[in-house]
Amino acid sequence: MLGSPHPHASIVSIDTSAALALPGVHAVLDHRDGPDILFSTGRHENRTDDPDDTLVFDRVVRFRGQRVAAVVAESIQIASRALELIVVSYAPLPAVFDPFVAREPGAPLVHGDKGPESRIADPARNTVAEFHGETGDVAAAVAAADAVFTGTWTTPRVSHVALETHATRGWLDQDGRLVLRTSSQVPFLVRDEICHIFGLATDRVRVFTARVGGGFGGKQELITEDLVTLAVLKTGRAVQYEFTRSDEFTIGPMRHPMSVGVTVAATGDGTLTALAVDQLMDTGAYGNHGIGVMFHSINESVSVYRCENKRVDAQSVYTNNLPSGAFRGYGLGQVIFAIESAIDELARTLGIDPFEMRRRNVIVPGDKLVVTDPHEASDLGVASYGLDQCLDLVQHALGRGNGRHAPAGWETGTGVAVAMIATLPPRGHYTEATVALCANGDIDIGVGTADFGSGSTTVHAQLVATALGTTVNRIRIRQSDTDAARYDTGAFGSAGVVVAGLALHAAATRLAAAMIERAGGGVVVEGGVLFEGRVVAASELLVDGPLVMTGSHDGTPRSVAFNVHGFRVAVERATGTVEILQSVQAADAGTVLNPEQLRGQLEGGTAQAIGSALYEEVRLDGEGRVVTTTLRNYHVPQFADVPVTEVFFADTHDDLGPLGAKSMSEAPYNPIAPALANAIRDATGVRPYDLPMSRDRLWKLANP
Amino acid sequence: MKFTVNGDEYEAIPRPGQVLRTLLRDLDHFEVRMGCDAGDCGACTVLLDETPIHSCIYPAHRLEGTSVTTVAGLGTPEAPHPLQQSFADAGGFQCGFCTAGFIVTASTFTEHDHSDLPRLLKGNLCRCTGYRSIHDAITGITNTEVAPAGDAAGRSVAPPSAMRVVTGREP
Repeated sequence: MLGSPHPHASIVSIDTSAALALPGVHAVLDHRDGPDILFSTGRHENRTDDPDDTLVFDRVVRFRGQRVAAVVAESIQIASRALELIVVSYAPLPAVFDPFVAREPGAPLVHGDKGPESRIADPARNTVAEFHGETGDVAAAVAAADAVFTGTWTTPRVSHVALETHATRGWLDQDGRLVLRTSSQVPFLVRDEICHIFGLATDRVRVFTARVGGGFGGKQELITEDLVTLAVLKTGRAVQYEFTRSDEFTIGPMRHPMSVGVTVAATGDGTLTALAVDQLMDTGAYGNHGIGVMFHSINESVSVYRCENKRVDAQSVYTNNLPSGAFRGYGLGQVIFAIESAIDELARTLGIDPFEMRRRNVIVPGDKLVVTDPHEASDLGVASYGLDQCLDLVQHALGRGNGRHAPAGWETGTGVAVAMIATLPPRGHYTEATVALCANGDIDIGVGTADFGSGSTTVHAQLVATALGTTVNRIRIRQSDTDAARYDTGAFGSAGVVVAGLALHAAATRLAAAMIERAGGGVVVEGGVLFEGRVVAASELLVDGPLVMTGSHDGTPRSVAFNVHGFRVAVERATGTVEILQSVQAADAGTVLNPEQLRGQLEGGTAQAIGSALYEEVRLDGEGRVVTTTLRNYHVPQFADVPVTEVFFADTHDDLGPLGAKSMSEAPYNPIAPALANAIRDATGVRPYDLPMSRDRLWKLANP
Repeated sequence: MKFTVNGDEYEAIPRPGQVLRTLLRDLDHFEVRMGCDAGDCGACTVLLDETPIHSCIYPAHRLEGTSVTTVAGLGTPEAPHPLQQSFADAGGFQCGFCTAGFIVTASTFTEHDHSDLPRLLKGNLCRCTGYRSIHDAITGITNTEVAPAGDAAGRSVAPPSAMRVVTGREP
């Protein structure tokens, strides 16, 4: 793929003739070949959730590295040589890299050519989405408060670094159907959007994933599939496009960098009387997830607190930097970093213990979840509540300690943060799954969810095996394939256990009833039905025809899950080094369907978040060039960097989830950065406001 | 150029500048993964004459007379290497992409090495687990259980694909 050398330019001419003439080259594709249908690389159940601002090949390029042309050849080596033979003439356009500048009048416009049908909120101000709301009177509450704290917190670009890069392989099968094997979290949504872009009927396209090597939100996108589709349709050949690790850093989606201003105010007894959030996020050159992340970031982060006076301002802005995208937590982590830091400082000012400060101000069962509209209709409610248990568990564990001592001369401190998250994305998340009895007594399940490491597949098998009285190894799983399963919106929003889990459990329960009916009574057991002292085998039950049941779920209404994280740290002021002495997380996930897997999600989320909090930053040079282009320059936590986290589960049962379970895969990430920042503040007396809290930054903070 | 992979003999002429990882994948050893291209992540780890190396930065033309072992050569789902079994028993993976590399590297460890894991595992990255379950896998701690019929929900059941993942048989 030939990427743009300019951050903003229009393509005046492209001459691909020399490249095409190179032996071994099958096609050279550019904007003259691509369909004219605007779309977004961001994938949601409703395609209107993202702006239509992207083309497979655009005549205007808006970030360094954006697709200009693609060579399809016998080998990567030949394709690379052919790239050098493509002659492109550009007319550079003014570019903007700072979202604070981009939103001001007179800034260069990234999508000035887009109209209202694109669903960009205000192209003339580079604004893909914004929100302004207030309940009560924040200014009055601040004026009357006993304590006020204001600050601005920033978070950088972070790369998911899923170990498997984005990649797609496509071909035409013997019926001329397009088949795409892709490393994606959303095979059904990819299928639907490919059909939309290329004008194909959905039954003429099959999209499937095999095992996906990590996602973390980075694969809730259509990133490589559109180019492969174009290449397959043009050449009729099997084509593969695979991101290198450097591609991931330079043109792959990034966590949205944010600047979050927070003002909190309280009365002397610690009652929160004002909470104001002012968030600005850089969505980069394209608006994939730029709308959803903005709205989600300011939702549960704000609604977890009961406070009569709240104001929220949020703005998602285009720049000529590489596009941001979905990332574990979907914007919540950045705003929670700011709010939990501000609440912590406010508690310090009042001399109130940070756990107590949360207890006095977080929502309790029966409270409505309010961002800035107390009358807003919402399908989100507190169907189970374990935040109190989580606070108690972490406070007790931190208080007990773990016997680890700081090195001599280092300062120690503790910090805590809370986080709430909706168990599902808003506006619907659909699954239709099937459960069928096989002649040998195995159970065949068809479910659309791709498992990229969340463990959802294991839980699906457990739910079905439980409902059918059988063992997990009798469950045959066909998954993440538009041919093998009916439908699943996809593995994002932590939906895998709840939505597909409910659907599968319902289908399995129906199948059990049908099996019992055919047997004449009894109970389901491994291999069939136990009735009147004998096992009626599956083959016998199937004499009258197949037994296949369907289950579905539409992802509403939704519940909330909670996490609390506590750290004890040691800091060496002379070098800015942080050592985590104790790490504790308590999670309210409702019924725990698989304790070891859930523990793994908490530990993994904590580790990834430690990376974001202490080490990771995808740095740009101020003119849209990515500087950290290899893993060598981007410190992902290694075995040596991650402390063991003590994990606790609250004891709750959620009325909405399968067997009472709640999702818990993004959530463990969200409270880590503020808990660490609060601990560093406790240890050193200085508060970090900017992530990552790297050694050089902490040293400068602690040694002004 | 003659060499063996998992005991099978091969004769091949590498492309100029070709690295061992792509040569192995040309020979259909897809259990050798690409995570970077610079020796930074360890997903491509194989044994070269018993020594774990990053095959993505090892020149293929140096293979003459050597023996390569990938994770698939250490054991099979029916007859796994003890370390492969313990990765399954410990729940030592989530997405599974780094698992082959970790198992190959750890297959060279002695029990004495268990107290030096932070240093010895510098060449293998995992983004999913936070490493505790990998530690358990290497040190032989079991965290999973087999659930009785009808009683799987609520138990620490191993992923159904576990034996395929730890032996490099998962596509």
